[in-house]
Amino acid sequence: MAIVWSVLVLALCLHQLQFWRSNNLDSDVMALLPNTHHDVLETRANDNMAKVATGHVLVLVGSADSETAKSAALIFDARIKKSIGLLRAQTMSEDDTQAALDFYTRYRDRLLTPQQKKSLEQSDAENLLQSSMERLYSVGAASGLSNWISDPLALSADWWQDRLGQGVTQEDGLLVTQGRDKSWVILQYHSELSAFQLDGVAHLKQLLESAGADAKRLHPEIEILNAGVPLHAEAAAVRANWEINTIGYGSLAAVMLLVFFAFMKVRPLILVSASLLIGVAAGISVTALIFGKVHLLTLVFGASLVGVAEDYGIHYFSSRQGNPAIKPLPMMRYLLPGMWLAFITSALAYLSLGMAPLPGLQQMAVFSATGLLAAFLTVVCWFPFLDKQASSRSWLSEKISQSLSYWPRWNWQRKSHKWLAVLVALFIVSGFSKLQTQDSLRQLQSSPISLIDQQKHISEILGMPSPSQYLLVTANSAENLLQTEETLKPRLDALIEQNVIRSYSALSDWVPSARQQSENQALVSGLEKKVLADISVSLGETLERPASSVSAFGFKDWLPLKFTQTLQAQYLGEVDGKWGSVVMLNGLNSSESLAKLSDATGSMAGVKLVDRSSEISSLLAHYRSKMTLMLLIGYALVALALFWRFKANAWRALLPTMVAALLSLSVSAWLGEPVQLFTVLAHFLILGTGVDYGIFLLEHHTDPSSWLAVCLGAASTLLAFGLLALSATPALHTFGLSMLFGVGLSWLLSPCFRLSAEPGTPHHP
Amino acid sequence: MSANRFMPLAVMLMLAVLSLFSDSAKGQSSKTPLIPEVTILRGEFQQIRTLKGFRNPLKSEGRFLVSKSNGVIWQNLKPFPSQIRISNSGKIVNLSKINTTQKAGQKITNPKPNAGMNKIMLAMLSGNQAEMAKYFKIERTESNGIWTLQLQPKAGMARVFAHIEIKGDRYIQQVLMQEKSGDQTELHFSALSEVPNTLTPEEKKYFE
Repeated sequence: MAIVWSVLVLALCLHQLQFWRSNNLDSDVMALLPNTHHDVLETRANDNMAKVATGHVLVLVGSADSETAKSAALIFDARIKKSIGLLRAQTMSEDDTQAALDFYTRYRDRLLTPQQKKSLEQSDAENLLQSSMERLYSVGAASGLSNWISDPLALSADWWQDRLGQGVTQEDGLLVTQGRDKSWVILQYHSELSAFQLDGVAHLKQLLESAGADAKRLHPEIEILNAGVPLHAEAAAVRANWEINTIGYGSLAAVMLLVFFAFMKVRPLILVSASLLIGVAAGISVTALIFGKVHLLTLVFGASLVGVAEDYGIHYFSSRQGNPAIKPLPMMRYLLPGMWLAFITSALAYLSLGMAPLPGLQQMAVFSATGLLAAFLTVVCWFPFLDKQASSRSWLSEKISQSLSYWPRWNWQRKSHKWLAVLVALFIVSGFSKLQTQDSLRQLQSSPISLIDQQKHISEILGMPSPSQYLLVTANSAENLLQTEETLKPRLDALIEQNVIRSYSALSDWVPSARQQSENQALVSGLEKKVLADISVSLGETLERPASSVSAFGFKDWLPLKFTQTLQAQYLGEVDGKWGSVVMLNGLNSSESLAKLSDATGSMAGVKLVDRSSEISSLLAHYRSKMTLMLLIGYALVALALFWRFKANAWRALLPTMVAALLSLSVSAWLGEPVQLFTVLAHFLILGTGVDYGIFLLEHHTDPSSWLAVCLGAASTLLAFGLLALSATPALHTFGLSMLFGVGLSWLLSPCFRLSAEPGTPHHP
Repeated sequence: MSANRFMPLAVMLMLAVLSLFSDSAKGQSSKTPLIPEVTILRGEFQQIRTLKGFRNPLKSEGRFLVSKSNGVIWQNLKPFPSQIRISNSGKIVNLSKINTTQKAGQKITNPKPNAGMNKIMLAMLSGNQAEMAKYFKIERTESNGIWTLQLQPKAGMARVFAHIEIKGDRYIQQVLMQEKSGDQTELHFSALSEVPNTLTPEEKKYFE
């Protein structure tokens, strides 16, 4: 048995080596959440939107004076370019730009903005001729992108302007925009860090800061704004690195101290630490094998596992300490049934986390349960062979064991205790009246406020589309897809007028439907011929309309163009005869706007408003209430089991945990911590561990060494989960805080309800 | 405006072209002028335009007024009268379309967003070198009191212009604009004067 386990541990070590080299860590919050869609196109849309955001870093360099902004931006850019392998400047070659211009020039008479179309349809020949003549004799350059005769109605400039939006210009090869009383130079980069590193160093942030410092040395008055998913991912990785160190090593150190002072020997210390390390390593390996990747939050959460997995080792050594006469192997055999029970209940408590079909929680459940199993097996298989000599009672274990007899005892007869009960009840009731719930995605995310602020400023100046709220358009052919978009767009234009959204981006902006193209072509070619003929008459010329493409263009002509690369995320292609595209929305930032958008587009066939954030919120809310119900059922089942075992004394085991759980909730409420899914999950573990203390004290109510085991176990659990309360991720913070209060209070309250000390023999094997 | 303001990178670079037609930031004036700067300049112009597909050049004539602080007024007299104002921001107002019975301020703004192009014209006429340097590499030569500027368009501008040549003595004398498309426009200036160097009450009305 011990040999088999040794082989498995060796295999584990090898897998660990491979895992940490291959960098299979994940920081994307979305990876924690279920993909609720059965629709292939919608899944593809979600993936595409996420992919577009990954890697893109946007920098704005602003100053009241545009020359200063440009000069600062050049210094900034030069510094970025000096460092290799971090950020790559995103530029498009002149050739690619020219290719795009040439492409659209070929189809020039098939392209019209809605306004152009309307005004051309309403125009009369006289007016068109007059404005054409005016342009012919206007002062300055004659035309623009193409020669005058190719575009006598001057349509192409307006069409391009409509594609590109207002307010961004190019000066000295830099993109410049105006906003918040400043000129801003727009710099775009792509992060070349293929996966983020868990070395605790914010590489990108440091580079951006040093580039900013270079630019500010010459131009101290400039303002620099950064945004981009890679920056959030990096911040999360740095934060997680700190948290894993604090929580993991912190609780490991604390447990080691406890073990050392309880047993005053080095061997227990080494063995208990070994069981913990093997446990955590097994958690990581199995999670990686099952899920492919391990999420950062799983690691942070898993680090707290240390506080639970040490129980078996401590249990073993404290029993050996109490009964030094019994040899290691028989002792293990004696303890095994109880330890099995303890392991199974804890593992079940952890696995219950995985009942919600959230991949993130399932990872944490698998991680914890397998980690626990590995630690347990290490204790069972190795400890009897490696443990040579039982330790003598230490000063600390002596003190703890004795403390039980001085512990206050609850007495319903005493007036002061009655008043205390009323006060506690009042505190709980008042706390409950303050309870709030929170189900937003934010509970899983902890981005630095400065990053969020900068992003907000950038969206004010430039406008950034949301990758989680967009319109999904589907149809049974590419042509119908584009036509659906074209019927959708006037509704969106109306919403822009009402300030519901700021703008949108659709593929049909760039690839009009064939129907639209031929309508435009008929209109434009007719009018151009007429105008050229009229001008020929009045100027004595014989003007001929230059040829243009005779056929419409479609996706297959357009997609190979290099400039479409960033638009291709909106193109979903065809799946089982169904075509799909994404219309991205910009400036949608209130729930009222969302409702108006939903009203305006809801009735359209083939158009679906996808709102990932609200989908996720309602999912989290759903599981919060469902798990709350499960928790209540759990309490009922535990109450039944306790009654079956302890009859009239059952309340002594359950009440401390119930009071502790209620107090934990009301303390959280007073601290302004909203109840979220993770709070409810913490309460599962509170029920699991808290009731154990009560059971233990009821079973062996006169044995001081059982109180020692409870105290050591509770202290390490508290340390581990208490440190989790330091996490910047709201979900883990709440989880840790609830555990801290819940487990701590049930530990302190349980002995208050112990049976009165009757004469009896100490429990010994 | 249906396009997204937060554009994909590739699209943003297409702006190279568009910068000609939209507003851009105000330039600073340089300390060492290539062209003598003027605060007020009045004169006459003749424009000769050679367009692809046209047998004959298109000729027009008129008067103009440049005020460094206000903008430019172009008054076409031949072949038909028209009058436009280019403000310092590059905005064009078509003054000829204003009904005489209308009050000032009710002017029709030309919706064509070719402000960038107009600002270049304004910069050339008023000698705003910094504004020109945003879009062109400038080379200056001088002989016998006549200076010549060769303007090589920078990245975005190169899609429209092949080359620009400006000549002058005390004042600007002629501009030759060769476009990439093959079209070409020549401007000749005459009867130039900066006296009086403030706007007359009558001239002021144009800028109201």
